Amino acid sequence: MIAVNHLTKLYRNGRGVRDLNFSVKEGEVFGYLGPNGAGKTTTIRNLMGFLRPDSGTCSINGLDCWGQSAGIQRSVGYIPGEIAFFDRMTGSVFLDFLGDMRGAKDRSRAATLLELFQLDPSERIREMSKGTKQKLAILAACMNDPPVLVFDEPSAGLDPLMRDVFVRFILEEKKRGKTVFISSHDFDEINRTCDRAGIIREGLLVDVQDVLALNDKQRRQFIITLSREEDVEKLRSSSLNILKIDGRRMEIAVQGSPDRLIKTISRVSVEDIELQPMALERVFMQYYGPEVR
Amino acid sequence: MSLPLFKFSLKSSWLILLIFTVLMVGYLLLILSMYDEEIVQTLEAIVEMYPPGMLAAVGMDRIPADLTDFAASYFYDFLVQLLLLIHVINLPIRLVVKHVDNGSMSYLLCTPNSRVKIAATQAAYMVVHLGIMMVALTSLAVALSQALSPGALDIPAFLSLNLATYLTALAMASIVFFFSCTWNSTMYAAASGSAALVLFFVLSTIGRFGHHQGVYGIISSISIFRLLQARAIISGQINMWVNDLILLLIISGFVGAGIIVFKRKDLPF
Repeated sequence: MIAVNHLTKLYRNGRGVRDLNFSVKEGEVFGYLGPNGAGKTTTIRNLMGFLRPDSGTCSINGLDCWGQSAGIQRSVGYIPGEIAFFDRMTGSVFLDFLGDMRGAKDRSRAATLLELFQLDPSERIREMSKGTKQKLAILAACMNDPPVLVFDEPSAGLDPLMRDVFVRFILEEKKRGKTVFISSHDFDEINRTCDRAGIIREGLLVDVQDVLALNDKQRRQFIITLSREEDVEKLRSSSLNILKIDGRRMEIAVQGSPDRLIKTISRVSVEDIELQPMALERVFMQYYGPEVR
Repeated sequence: MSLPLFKFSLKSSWLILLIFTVLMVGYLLLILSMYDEEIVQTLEAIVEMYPPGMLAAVGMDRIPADLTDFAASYFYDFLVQLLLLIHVINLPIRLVVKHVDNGSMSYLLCTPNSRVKIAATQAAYMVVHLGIMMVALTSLAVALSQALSPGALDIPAFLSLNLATYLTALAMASIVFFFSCTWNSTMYAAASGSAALVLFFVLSTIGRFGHHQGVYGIISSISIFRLLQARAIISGQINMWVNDLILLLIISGFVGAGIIVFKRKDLPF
């Protein structure tokens, strides 16, 4: 459905993407992970026909993204990474305007989505909060129910509750047979929605993997505080990967399933256990590894 | 052409269209209603008072022969050029590069409309926008002069003058349109567009200073305003077919080039 072949697009400052190759099958949800400035948006701008590739091609639904971008727009819904609207319009006028520009009369899907995302479109866009603007962008992309969705960091600015609604929305769209391409630096979001994920770093596609496999590779850090000093020694002699001990507080790294950790710590008395939020940098470091650097 | 986009452009520009039209119509009607024997005598006195050249630079050094000549000298030869200049620097910038610069163009291009269609729609809007302005100006001026002093205005000459004015305005707008399609930054586009037009205007003013004779003629012939010599047009000294054809070539050249550049360039969002 989406095919990227040897795509290279470099900016004058040396940034951009180099020799990208991947494809997204029909009905698949594909995550595109990478830190800021890795080339995620550049890839998407090529897909949308905003940039002319230096070399290589990309296509959606068999149509070339550069030469036939107007045709592609018939089947694609796009959420830009940086959202800029026609500020003076109200949300509803904007959605109507887009509908007219697409030559679409039916607004029933838009009504359903307004309900789902609890968006009040009567406000002027420039007076909307960042999250509300983001919801409007989601609506603008999906109101015509296109079969292909291309989202550039779609949940930026959404509160955790709405993020959840959005994740469920993507899963629903997937069930309805949509092909989805999501760029994100939020590992969790990709984890919950995608079948496969590509990892991009400094303009190069480092890896494309099944999300389940990525999960296996994911290394998490638990912080465990023990009730008794003497238990520290028990854990120290276990096979757990202990990173740091600070009195009764221990930092333990877990690769893949936490099953072994749980079984091990069940033998001691635990006062507190917390999961260290995975810094994005760390997630990436794992996949990129020193050898890639 | 995309009708919804055309409507949108009209909606977002109607106020500025109205203001400039009212301003131009108001000024022209004022000039037309001022014309009588007395004012001709006053002008004779003024022209004698000033050193030669100074009034020539703003096109007000000659005593008008009749009402049409009066309008040509005191409105079309200088003032209209200045008003249009201010207006057409702004319009094409708002129609294209502003949408690119603030990112709203990405939403226009996310609809099944090609870049060529979007840019051509904006160009078409420009043609209509300036057309509405000139039709209002011309028809109200004709109506008022017929009401005040029937037969005093040489209508065919006046229409030909207004057509040339329209095409000159459009040619200026096309030059700015070209820059508006080329740059991704509103600031650069406005700077290049206004630099070009202001340069033309200055050249034409210098040329007028020396009645477009000798070296002054060479200087002013570089300017696009050389194609809008109001007094020469109404007195029939210029072949209007050739004059207007040159303007049409300039218009289609710059609009066409602008659209092609817009189609091929990388967009910044």
